[in-house]
Amino acid sequence: MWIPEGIVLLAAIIILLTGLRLKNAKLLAGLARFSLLLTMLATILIKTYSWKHHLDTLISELWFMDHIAFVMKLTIEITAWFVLGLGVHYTQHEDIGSGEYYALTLFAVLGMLIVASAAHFMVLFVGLELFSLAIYALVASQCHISIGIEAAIKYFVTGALASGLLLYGISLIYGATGQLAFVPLMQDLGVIANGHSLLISFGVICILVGVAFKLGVAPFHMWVPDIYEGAPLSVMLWIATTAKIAAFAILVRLLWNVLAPLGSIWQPLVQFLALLSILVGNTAAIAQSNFQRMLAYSSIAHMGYLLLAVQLNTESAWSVALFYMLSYVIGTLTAVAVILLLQHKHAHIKQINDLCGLHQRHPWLAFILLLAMFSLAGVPPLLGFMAKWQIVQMLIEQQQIGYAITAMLLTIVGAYYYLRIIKVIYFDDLQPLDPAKPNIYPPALLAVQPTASIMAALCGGSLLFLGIFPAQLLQFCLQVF
Amino acid sequence: MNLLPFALLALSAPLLGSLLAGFGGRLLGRCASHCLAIGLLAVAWMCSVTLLYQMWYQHAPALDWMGYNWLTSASLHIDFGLLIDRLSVAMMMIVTSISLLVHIYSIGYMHDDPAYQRFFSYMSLFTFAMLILVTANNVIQLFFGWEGVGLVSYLLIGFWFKKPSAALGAYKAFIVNRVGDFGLLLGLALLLYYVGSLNYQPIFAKAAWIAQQHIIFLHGHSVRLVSLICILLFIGAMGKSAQMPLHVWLPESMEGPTPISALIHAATMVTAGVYLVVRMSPLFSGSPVALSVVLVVGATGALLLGLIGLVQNDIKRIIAYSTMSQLGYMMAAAGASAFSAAIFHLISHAFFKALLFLGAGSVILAMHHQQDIRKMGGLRSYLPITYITFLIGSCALVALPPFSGYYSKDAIIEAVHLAPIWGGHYAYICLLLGAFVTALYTFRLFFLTFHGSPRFDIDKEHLPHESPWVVWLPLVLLAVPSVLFGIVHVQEFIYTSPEGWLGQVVYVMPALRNYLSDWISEFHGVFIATAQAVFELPFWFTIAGIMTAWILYLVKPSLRAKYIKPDNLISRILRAKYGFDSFNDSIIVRGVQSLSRLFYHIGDMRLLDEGIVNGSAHRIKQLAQWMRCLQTGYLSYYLFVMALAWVILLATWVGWF
Repeated sequence: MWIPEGIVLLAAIIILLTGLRLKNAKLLAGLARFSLLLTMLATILIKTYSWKHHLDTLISELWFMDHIAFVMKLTIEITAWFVLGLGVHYTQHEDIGSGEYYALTLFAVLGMLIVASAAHFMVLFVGLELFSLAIYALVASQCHISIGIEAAIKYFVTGALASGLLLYGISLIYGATGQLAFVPLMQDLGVIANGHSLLISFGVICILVGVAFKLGVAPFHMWVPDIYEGAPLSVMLWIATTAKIAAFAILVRLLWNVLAPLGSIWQPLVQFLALLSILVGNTAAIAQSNFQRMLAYSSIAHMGYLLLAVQLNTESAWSVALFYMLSYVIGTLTAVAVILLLQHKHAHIKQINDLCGLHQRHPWLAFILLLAMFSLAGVPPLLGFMAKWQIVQMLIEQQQIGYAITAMLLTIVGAYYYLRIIKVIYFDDLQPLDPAKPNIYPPALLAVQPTASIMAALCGGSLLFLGIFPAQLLQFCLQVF
Repeated sequence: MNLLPFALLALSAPLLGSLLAGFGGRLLGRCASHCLAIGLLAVAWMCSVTLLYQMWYQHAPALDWMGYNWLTSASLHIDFGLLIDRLSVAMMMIVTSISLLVHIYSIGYMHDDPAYQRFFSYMSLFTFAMLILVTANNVIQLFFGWEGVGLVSYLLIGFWFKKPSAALGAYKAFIVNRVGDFGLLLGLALLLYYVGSLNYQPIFAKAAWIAQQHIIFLHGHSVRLVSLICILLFIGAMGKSAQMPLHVWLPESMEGPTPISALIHAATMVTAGVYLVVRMSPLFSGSPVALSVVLVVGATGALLLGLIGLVQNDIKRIIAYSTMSQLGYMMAAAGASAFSAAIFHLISHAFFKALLFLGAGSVILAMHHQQDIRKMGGLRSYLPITYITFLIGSCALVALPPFSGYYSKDAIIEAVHLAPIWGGHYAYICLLLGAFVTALYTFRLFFLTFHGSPRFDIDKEHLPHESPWVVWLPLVLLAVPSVLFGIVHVQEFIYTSPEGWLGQVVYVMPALRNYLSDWISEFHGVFIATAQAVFELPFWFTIAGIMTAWILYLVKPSLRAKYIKPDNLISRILRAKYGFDSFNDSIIVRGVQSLSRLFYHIGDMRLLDEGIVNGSAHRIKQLAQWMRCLQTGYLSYYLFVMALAWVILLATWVGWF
């Protein structure tokens, strides 16, 4: 039952040990990705095996083997595989592709897998800390760049505060009920749902704050732009995609598998967090000139939309939230994949204006970036549109028309900064590398990266394909909950 | 015999010709394009002849064919259907005949034009739209044809769109017609609201019921529904048929090529308004008020617009004012319920007015596109065929017996004289004086153009010469009906019954049937009627007009300088065209412009752009900047915000806020 986690752990230790001697980054990356492939295979095999033999979805009140765990794990593994594959070239020329980078990555994956299956507060917390600590270290992997160190420190300290609040909330709940395992705790909470004490309410709020921090939801979002900007691009992608899925897994476990009976406590708070996030994310993104900071605010806004579905606290709403999460992850993956492909030792793409005239240099990459921006902005017929539409439909069905209208109006505001990228890449002129030498442009193709290019194309294509044929994916999400 | 295939063929052939000449014109070349367009139009003409033969000699019953349902919305059904009765067949005949001749004429007239194929395509398209208009069995289809001819008229007036005056004339025609169309649309909307259908049959079946309805306006004023509908429909007809005060576009339309002026702005499209009034006779006959309005507006236009023709110097504009005046006669006839006389004058006018326009075109060709009659003169010897045919056309226009115009116009004046409806006497005086004015401006034009001494520079190398046969042949072919049509057909067309040959198609108010019976009983055969001309007032008014023109412009031109001061009040009024144009320019155009400027600057720029569009964007940008400032970058501040948010969440729950 722990084979996937075992594979990841084994691979992490092997890379950690061999990485001391072995300096061939390509080999290390290959090993890490191979282990992830094996993990994926193992996850699928175990799921089919347990499904065929009707094994129990709960193992000794500590470990879930249900649909949610399976979906979360598989998504984390696939995304991690993509993130590693896309970053190979970048990590090489940034000199961060050493053994500990891949070992830390795999430890983070291990923590995320644990979180996805956790059925006990302590297991959950251990998994959470495992992947958080690994990511803190990853953010600082360019130890000669001060902005990276600053980001890591900020992330670590604020993260510590959030973890402390989460742990505090867990202890309050424990104090009130004497339970740490999810299944009996949920039964107890169901019984006392109407007559809950202040202790439990405070516990729930503290837990919510901890999770909101991990998701990067306003007003616990302050770390997000700084860390996105300061971290190396491949690590930023890591935080923006896999870590967000893991945070969503925690959200599902805590709010759906434990605190669902106490919806009356946390639903209004989540509503507030959701609307504030959409407002802050969409408006603050407009003022950004740095691409990574812009993506940071974009992620804040997207997490807001996600919470807007979550606060409905019904099975179908959680399914839609999962669908939205997938659409956000694929969109962000695509956008960052293009930027990663464009990175060059001598020509960093940091500012939005660095993308000027991209269409003239790389029409295909420009088109893929266009797909990503349209999807994130929610333009039909892309996946992002379907996801937003599902959420709005759900809100309207639940009579929350005011929220639906607010969300859509702020989406219009948000469309501005996505469309600005498109304007810059399609309608602005190519900027010379050095203003003093007006005829020298960045090199046409930086380095041939066939695998990463195919991956980027795959992501962009899936945005379009799933946007036009969303039924299968939506059906799949509906069966999870 | 089944009439339907002929009708459908007559409709589709010009459309096909238009599409071929329009889209395949470059491929086919000039010759093939005009051959195809003319050939297909000849097919349509033959179909019309067949239909007319069936109606005229075989007395075939009317055909009301429901083609297919075009559009359904709740209880509203709009169909494509055809109504082939005597009225529509007569109109089809006129449209296809004149169109065919004008097509042939255009081979010569447009010979040097680079957009030759486009011209033929537009003309065939016009024929198609006009046929749709006259064969429709419901008002929406009529409206489709109505707008179709309006569109092609716009395209053809602006055919030489690089000439600013042509482009402006096209605008003017289109915009003024919109005013009329607005009335027409309101009328159709009222019909739809009260009848629930737009097909002729249910509308006419309910005509008696409509005549009894009233609608209440503000302050409780009650208005008869039928009068309101008819006046609204008549506003549409005024736009299309250039009745005062919506006539201002027709003089400007003369900027188009001359064949177009003959086809569209003399013979066919401008008569669509008369057709509409006659077609809607069951409604108009329910409203004496509407009939009086039609009569008075028509008669006023017949006199006043003819008067303007006296001071014009452009050969085409004179004929254009004459057209408006004659349309006034037709409207007056319709107003007096003499519907068959109106249609009869429509037909004879189509022949002789097309003849005059094409003759004018021939003169313009010979004079190398000089249109000012003061620079012509003495063309008789250079253009013998044009001279004779133009003389025939002029005689028909001024209604000299035995030319066709005499029978139609005399019938109208007589009918209006007898008509016992409000405004009848006034209309009679207008029409009578109009006869004098018509003769005066027609023969002024004629004498100045063809007689006297040449006032152009005679260049021995390039003397004016007769046009090629494609140009003069249509003139000859049109001269024949201009002479014979009236004398041959008048008895059967007008004087058989109060409704005339149109019979069941039109409906006359019972109160007016008596006077119409008196009117037709005064007719004792064509030859007696011709001989009787000398005992009737209109004839002498006409003779007086011709004589005046002869004396003033040919025998003693010095009299003009002596008695007619160029700046006397009357000629100033006439030259200003009663101030309609300057009124439109200064009040309506300027008013609309300043209003739109107001809306643009205050409503659009200030309120929408600055306030809502840019304003909201500006606010959001400010908000974004403000939020950016919140992101200080200090770790302690971040922790403070987190802790504060946590405390606020807790406090909210406890109920501190």
